[in-house]
Amino acid sequence: MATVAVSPALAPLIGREARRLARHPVMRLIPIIAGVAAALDGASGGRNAGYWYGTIFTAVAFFGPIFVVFAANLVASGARRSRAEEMLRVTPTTDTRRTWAMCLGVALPTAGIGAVLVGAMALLDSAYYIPPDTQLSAGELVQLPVILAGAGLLGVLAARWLPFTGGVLITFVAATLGGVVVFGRFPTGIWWMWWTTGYTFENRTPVAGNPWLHAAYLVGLCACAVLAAVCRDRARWHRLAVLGVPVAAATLLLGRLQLP
Amino acid sequence: MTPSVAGELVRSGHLVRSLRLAPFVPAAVAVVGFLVARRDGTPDALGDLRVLGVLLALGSGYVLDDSAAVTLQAAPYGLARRLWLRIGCAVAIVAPPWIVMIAYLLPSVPAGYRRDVGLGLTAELAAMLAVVWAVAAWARRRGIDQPGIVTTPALLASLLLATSISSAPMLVGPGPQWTAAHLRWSGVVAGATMVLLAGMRDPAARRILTGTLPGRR
Repeated sequence: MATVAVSPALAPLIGREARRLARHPVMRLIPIIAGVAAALDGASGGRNAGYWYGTIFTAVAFFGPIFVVFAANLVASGARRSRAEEMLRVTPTTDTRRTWAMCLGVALPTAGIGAVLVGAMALLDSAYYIPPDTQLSAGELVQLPVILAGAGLLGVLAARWLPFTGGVLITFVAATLGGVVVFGRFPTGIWWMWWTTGYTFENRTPVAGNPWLHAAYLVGLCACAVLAAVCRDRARWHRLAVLGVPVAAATLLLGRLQLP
Repeated sequence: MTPSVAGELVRSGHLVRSLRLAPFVPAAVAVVGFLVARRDGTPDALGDLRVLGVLLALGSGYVLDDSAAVTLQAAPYGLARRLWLRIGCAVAIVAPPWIVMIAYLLPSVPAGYRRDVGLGLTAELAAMLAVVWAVAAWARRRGIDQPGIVTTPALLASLLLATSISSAPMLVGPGPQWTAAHLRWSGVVAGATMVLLAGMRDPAARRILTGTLPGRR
């Protein structure tokens, strides 16, 4: 696994997975839901720059991750669901390489789309007045593309580790409701959650922390997800331990460092 | 095939074994969590019951998954009967925890609102169930044997859309808007049930309006 790099041989696989994700019908729900929700919204304060800033934020940090989890899971579990795994085993590529391609093909485009939308938010912020209660700092904006990519990786992870019907539903509920229940119990929980630190749980008083390091913590979580997905096979569990333990430790360290 | 086939499938346990029960795990965990954490009542019975309702509906979306769907297409036991049997099993799974949790959490609601809240939240659950089964039935009709995984994003999308209509709020608390909101939920139940019934019709059956078979003039 350590020898696998983004070589020309891997690049077409990444592109193929990215295209499969982009063309997935569930991904079409994101602009539809965001668009319809924006159209139906009363917008009591008018459709000004602050309104569009909030709308883009909701699309990137809320609607986007929800549907990316399921779209990525459907893409990643496609071979299993169509009983094509046997045929894939005889192709001149390994399961490890395919999973690398899957992870990169899911994470890179979602992060890219997230970055474009965050750029739009930054542009709005620089050109118009954005109310301070909705305005995000640069560190908080950087977190958003990582959240979107992380949602995709969560879907791939669920497809690899819970390869049964309903596995992604269990993962989704555990990651959202479970996360809110567990991390909502202590004041610094929002900093350990896999979401933006721009908003607190149930309007609690915000706890100080470093949003840039939270972005790094989220990247660490993404790295953990990639390693866990790639090293799913029992034969690679020793590699998972050798590589996973330091990466998980570094992620936990970043999680600790983000707090004062 | 006679209706006793259904009884035999239930008695022998084949039907229960063919159902996907893993998607009900989050709802089961939520029930246990609420039973443990809300022993002294809850500050937000509505929120807790709504969360449980969504989890039960999400889990129920997988009951129309059938690995043997292609094989059973040739069986002289109609598509609608096969799907109703599965939906009946889902109701048998969903109803007990829902009734238990309603009875357990409703005392936390002010006495004057208990009946309305119980009926209203049950209407919300019925609407969500009707939507997921309608989506699953139509996906089955489109040739997807395991449509459960599609129902989750579909239900979440529907809920997000429903909550975004500020002029016609769907998720309200007890008060003046309650009746109007739950009339809308009842409308969703009726609409989704019609779509479900249409989706359960055998694609090979005669057309209702013209009486002709598919593919013939």
